Amino acid sequence: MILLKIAVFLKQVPDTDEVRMDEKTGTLIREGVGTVINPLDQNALELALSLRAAKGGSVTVVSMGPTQAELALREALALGADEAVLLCDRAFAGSDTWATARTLAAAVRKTGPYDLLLAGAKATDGETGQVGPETAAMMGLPFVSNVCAVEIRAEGLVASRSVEDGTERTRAPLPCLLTVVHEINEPSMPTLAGKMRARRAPVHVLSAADLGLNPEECGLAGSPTRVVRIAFPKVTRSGLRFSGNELDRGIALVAERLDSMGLLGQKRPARSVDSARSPEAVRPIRPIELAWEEAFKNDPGGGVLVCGECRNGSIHPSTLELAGKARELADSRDSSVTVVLPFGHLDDDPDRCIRHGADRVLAVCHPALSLYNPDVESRLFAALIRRLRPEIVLAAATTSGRTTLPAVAALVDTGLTADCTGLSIDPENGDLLQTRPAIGGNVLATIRTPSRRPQMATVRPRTFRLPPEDPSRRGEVYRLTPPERFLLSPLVPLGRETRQEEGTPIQDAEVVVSGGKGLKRPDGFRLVEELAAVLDGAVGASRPTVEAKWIGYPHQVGLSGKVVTPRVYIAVGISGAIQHLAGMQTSEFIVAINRDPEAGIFRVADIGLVGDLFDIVPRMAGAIKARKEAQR
Amino acid sequence: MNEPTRFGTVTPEVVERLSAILGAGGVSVDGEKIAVYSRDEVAERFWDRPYRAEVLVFPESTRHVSEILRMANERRIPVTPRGAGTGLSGGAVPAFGGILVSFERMNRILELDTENLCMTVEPGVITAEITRAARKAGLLYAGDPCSGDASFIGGNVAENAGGNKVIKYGPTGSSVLALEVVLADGSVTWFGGKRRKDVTGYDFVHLMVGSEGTLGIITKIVLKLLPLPAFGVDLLIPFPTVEAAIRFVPRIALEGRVTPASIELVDHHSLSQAEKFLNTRLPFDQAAAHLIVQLEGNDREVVADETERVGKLALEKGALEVFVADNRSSRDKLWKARKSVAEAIMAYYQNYAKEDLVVPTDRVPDLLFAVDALCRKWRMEAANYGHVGDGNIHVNLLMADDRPHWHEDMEQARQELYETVRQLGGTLSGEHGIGLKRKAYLPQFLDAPQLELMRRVKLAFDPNGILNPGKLVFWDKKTGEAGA
Repeated sequence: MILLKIAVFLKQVPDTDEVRMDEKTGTLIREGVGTVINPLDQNALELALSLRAAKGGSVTVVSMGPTQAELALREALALGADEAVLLCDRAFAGSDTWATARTLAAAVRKTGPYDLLLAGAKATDGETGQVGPETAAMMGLPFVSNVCAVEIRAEGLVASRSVEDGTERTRAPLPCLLTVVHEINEPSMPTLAGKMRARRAPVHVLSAADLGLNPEECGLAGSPTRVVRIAFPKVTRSGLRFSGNELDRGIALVAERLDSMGLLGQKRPARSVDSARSPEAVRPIRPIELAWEEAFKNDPGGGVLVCGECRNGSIHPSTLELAGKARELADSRDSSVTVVLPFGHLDDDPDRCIRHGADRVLAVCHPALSLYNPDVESRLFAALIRRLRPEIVLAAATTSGRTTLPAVAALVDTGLTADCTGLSIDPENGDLLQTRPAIGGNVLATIRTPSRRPQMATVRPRTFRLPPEDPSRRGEVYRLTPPERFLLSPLVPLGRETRQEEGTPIQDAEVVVSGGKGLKRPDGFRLVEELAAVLDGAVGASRPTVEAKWIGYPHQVGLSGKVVTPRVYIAVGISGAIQHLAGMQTSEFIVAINRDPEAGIFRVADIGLVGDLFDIVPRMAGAIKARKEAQR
Repeated sequence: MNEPTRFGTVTPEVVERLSAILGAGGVSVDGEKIAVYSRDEVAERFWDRPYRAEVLVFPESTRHVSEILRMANERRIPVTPRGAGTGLSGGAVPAFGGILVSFERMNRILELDTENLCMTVEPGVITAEITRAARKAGLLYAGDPCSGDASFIGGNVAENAGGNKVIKYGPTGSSVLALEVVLADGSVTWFGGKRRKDVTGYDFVHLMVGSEGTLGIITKIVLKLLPLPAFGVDLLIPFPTVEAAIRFVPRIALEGRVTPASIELVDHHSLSQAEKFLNTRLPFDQAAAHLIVQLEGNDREVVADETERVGKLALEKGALEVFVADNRSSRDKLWKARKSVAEAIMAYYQNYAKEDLVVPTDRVPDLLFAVDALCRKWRMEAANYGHVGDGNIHVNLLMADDRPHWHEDMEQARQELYETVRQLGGTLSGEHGIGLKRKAYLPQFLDAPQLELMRRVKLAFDPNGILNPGKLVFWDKKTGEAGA
């Protein structure tokens, strides 16, 4: 029997199902709202308890927060955790993810060592998902994010991680850190005996001094990032509402609008939006081979570095979007844009990055890079950042971007802002202003990294529209092959499986049609699928339908699922709980179908159709089909 | 007055009159739409024939309702009021055609009066909206029917809906302080007021409550509110036998010295259906029965003490385990299972009888033994669940096979069941109502003088019998039935 000493990081978060919105200011009302253990942390705890049951060992729960966070820890004790540690000190207040990770790392060193560290993949309030990877990187531990299944072996463990279009399997040694997603298990309920024990058990409280941390290294003082501005985007749209005899007019208007958005034309080639490589204009750039050791040793530094992403031999559209945005930022700083493309093989043309705005492309090529390895990738980016000393580093907020970049930030000792939807240069001081939705998209926080470089941000895919390629742009393409020893890693990617039946991943789709409990039965989703098929869109779902397992978790839209920003979002039988609205309200055009005229979803809808969805959806599908036919 | 009534029909001219009252958007003669609105949760195949209204109207004010009734009364046209259609008695089914009145547009919360702890609402407000609005002000609306996420408050009052918190707070009627009612001839009156005491005249408020739309049409409701308890906890307690679970119930008050907000029972068969429907698992789901006991209070420690007391007591009385849910996610999970049993049964069985029996609480085990015997005799299954704290058990007789004469078998089995219930001192319906579905069985439970009294009350309120005919009361002496 292996004895596993496990620590679980718990965050206490406001109960998003109780959060309400102030209609006037568009802000969340948090008063009187209960707190709960962050749902994904509950899954992490459940995993810890089941591993202990199978393998023996102990489970320690660790939380950083005010004294009230003790409640979350006691719930964990009631569920069976052996020890509870509360990191509580006024000096911890205002921590960003970097400072939080640093504090947690100190706590682990103080109370450990542990064989396994576990946390939820993200919290429902901050939604950064950065603390886990940052903590692991600071401690020099291998980690796997978004884990949906785990198997303990004699020599370590094998984790499956859930990614946009399937799962990846990775072998990891112990000790390591895992962040888990909802599918991994179903949290249990505490027993009376557990509750009684937890009520009387001690919770160990540790201060900054106990952890050997200087107050300047913690909390706000120790945080590389600063919130400089909070804005309250108005969530209410001037929606048109149709019901009864008016429904036909509403449906026609939807079809018209979809048409004017260019969504009913000829079926476009899937996803890679602009494979429009007009051959006559493009002269290929001859790549320059560079030796790893010597490459960019004496680079002048500065500029914008884009950490690119290649999947299945092609450049991910988000990389090109970022090249364009980086160009804009670099121009206002009079500097250059470098795109790094790590890949095992590439069928795509790296010159496209240049035509989208880059000055140079570093094609980092090695067969070992064909499967995602956050350890190798983060060390690779960190090494290049040290050599190139960029002012700004950008990456897409994809599953892998949001896994790699926190580790990179920890390795190069700087702040990182997750999932930005706006980037600009402060004309006063030249700093990067990083804007991201927070608290479920109801707040827009603008963040700065005043005293450390580079300034790093992950950017939500599809935030910046992909401009057409500029064939006249010139630049350099370098090819680099990292040496074998650089690619040695404690993590061993074992393979990936692409989900077959699930269709387009919801984050990548231009059109998302989502279903809610109004569909009444699991097979109600057929209606949603049919409408989605007419629009070449993806199928989304509300949390209750996923919880009822009418449809899989990858479809879940909302704070506890995926945040999506498609061009069109059609909500079918979804009432519009705050936590759902937070996941879709930044979509360009929103249609809501619900029989309850008071449903919250109508507040964010451009067009609301009030009535029986079983009647409206087929009519809408018919109207759209008819309009498509007419186009041919 | 005692002649068999000849109801008037809805002529094009009547539709025109209605359109003049309500505007064109407030009247529908669309057959498909009328079909959707002409039913409740009782599956249509349980009726001898489909019942359809002739016209569907959507009033927006008391004045609209008053004018509709004045006209209908003059022409002897039946009027059936309808809430959200979540009823289980056929109460909203237009048994004699005529005008079907949907209250979905009278859905405003008119006032939240925190000084007098009450809320004034229109009948079309969704029950859960009321709960939410009260909660926002730190107050409790205690009505909590299982269908509350969809049901309208008007329907709750008309049927005197029960639900999950009856043992502590009483059924819907206990929360009703006053009603604005449109009488059969279109006149409008208020029964009761924002008063906690009132002996000035008969208690018409509580005559209207549960009258199933046969005496008048409710257009405004004043509901009583209470301070919202700050903490709540649900105990999920599996027992090895249904009897052990039920025997434990009175111990909670006697030895545990607490009044829970709810005590619910879900037997094994019911739980399996809900688990299958929600695709979830509750702990100890092989146990014969689970109790859900809800405790609440304002002091976390006091609630924790009570939890320990009741929990330990349960273990002493044979519980297999006690689970404690005191945060939203786990509480939601177990209530979702409890509340979806009814829907799950409808999803998995074609031929069933959903009963709403009430017996004195100490006779619940006897009732369930009788149900067992009945099932063996008639080759049926049973799923039993419900508000065991108040003796109201939803016995569901289920036929897994598709025998040709299922209707007749079921009818026989029900008759035998009702006889047992009567002998146990129980009655026909605790909270779903009599409506169209149970009216024929009423004489088994109410004696002749009482039926006669009901008839006279009905005629005093509605001399022409236009209000929801066919439901609850036998008022036409000659036919023994309502008109036609």
